[in-house]
Amino acid sequence: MGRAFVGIQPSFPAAAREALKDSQLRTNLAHATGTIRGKRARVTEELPDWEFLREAARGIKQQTLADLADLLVEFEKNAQAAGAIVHWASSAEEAIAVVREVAERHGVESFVKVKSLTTDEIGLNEAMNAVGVDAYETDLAELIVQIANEHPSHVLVPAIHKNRSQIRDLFIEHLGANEDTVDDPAVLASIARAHLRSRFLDAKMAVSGANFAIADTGSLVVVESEGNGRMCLTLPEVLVSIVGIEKIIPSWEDLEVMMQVLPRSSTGERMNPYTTIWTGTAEHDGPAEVHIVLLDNGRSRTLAEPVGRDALMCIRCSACMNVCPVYERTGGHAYGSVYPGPIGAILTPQLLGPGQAETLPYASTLCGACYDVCPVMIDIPSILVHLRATGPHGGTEKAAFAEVARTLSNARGMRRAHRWARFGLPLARLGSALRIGPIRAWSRSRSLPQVPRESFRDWWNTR
Amino acid sequence: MSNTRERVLTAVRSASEAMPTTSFSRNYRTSLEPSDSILELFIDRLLDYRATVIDLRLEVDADKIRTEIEAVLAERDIASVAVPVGLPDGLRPTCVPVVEDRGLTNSELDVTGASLTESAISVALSGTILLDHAGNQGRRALTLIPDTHICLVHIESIVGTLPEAIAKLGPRKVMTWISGPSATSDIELVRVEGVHGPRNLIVLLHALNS
Ligand code: SF4
Repeated sequence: MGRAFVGIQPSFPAAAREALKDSQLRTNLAHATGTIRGKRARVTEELPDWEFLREAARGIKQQTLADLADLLVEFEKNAQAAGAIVHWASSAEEAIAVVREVAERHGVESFVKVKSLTTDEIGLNEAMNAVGVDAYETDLAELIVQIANEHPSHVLVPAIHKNRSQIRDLFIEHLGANEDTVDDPAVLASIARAHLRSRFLDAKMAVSGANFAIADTGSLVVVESEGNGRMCLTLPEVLVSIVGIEKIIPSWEDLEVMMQVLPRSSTGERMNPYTTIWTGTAEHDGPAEVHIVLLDNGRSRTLAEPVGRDALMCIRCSACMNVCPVYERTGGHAYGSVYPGPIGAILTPQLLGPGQAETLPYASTLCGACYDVCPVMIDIPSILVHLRATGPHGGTEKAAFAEVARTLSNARGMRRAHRWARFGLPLARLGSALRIGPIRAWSRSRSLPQVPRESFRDWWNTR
Repeated sequence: MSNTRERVLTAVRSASEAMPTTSFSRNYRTSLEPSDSILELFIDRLLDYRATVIDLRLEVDADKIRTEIEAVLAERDIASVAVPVGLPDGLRPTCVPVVEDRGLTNSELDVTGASLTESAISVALSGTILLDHAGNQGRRALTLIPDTHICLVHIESIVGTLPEAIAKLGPRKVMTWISGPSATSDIELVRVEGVHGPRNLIVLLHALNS
């Protein structure tokens, strides 16, 4: 169950080849990414100050990285003053140990969870299962993925690879739904509601992530849609929030920017249905015991990278994935990483460190669409190029990558040719170079599987 | 643990040492054009989220507002209402049992038909109601567990943009921002209103000063 971050997944090319065979996945992904892309475009275009908001969001996150140590200390001080217990974890194991210790001290056999990439990153669910504590995902899609014993295929809509009748069957099998349940999304949602209701009302402990940690107040912020987040953050007696150290924003005022750019970039809504903000503990309101785990796990090492560190500005909106032509075709599974898509391709290898996930920076055409939509203006293509150049595959791959890039670019009919000039990679017609010589082996195992040319037209037409 | 803290902080400090200090400008809007109707915009956004809007924007009479609330309860067969301690007496319905939330249990709230509260401030541009859980709004569980939330919004508490709301309100210990009823699009991207949070959000606009 859950997702392994390291090691057991095949490399991107191998996984991508598998994913591309799955036409249901491809159709669903194309539909999902296309729909969300359209919504995002509408709600960002209606704001005359959108670009100013992006600039400010970028400025806020840059300032965060530049002053991170001081801001962390400030956050800690304010959160503690408000009654929170602050822990530090330099690795996944240390973060897990905190959750385990809290669970054991309260004698709980299970806890409820709000969807959180950071807890996925540290493999929390698996680790807790191993010590006899069940982690119940409460987000509808995460619940579906969890009972199907699968991995999320999309960050925002993790169960998009499942259609409604498959979900109905899962609910009949695992949640005790009636055999004659109809496969209507509203009906299925109400089954999930009923299933989780008592779990929420009786939960003693919850684990969450956080979208933002506000330094000057010590508050945490969680954005969500379904209300499962509010349930987890409000009803249990004990709450543990695992927060990557890069989630800091300097001030309360910064929320006015981040909360405009995040929902619009993410689900394409003007605002997500629910946002919860809490500061330590509050009297007679919410958990009486509040823990915050500040997690490094590769972040400080990434911060030391002059080019790559910008990946830490990411606010996990997933806009870059929805515009990525590679992601749209392969889905999240192929990346073998909790953070998929363009951001995953630059963040995962850096968080994991040398020798890990090294094929990911090649999972891109460098078309630049991700940069254009990113609310904090992370120049993902430049970081990809940098990681490719400095990665363990230097020499040959570097040369070959130019060839492959050309191939993909033409095969796709990508219109963003100007991007290439930036990287000094002149466009050329699709040649036969890829099919011969030493480069051939490279290309087959690394990049070509992203886009088998035979079926390209089919995909394009179904977009 | 304190060792870890020092280790992380030292690593972070040395990693960001050479980073230039940056400055940036906040050129985004902090208010809407005078020609924009904030109230109409707010209503439009709420309807877009499929909230129910009861528009009593000129109403200053508590009895009339209460009658309207009672009509909603009757129409929806809501048999009981939970209210925060700070909700003005004049606004409390008389047609159904009203319980004041002085530490109701989760299961007591779960069998209550609706919660009825006021609100702190609202943002027209995004259709967002901000609760700061003051006495007239109650603690978070009150507006979370009952399946219907009837939320009173004073028209003068509606501002155009989020920066205005943030400036007016300042930091709060706990907050809930609500933009429509709970929703999911997790199954085939079909939007379904109502998962775990209140499935019905009824926003009543009024002009009564308490
Ligand atoms: S890199 Fe930018 S666009 Fe991609 S998820 Fe992060 S913030 Fe969003």
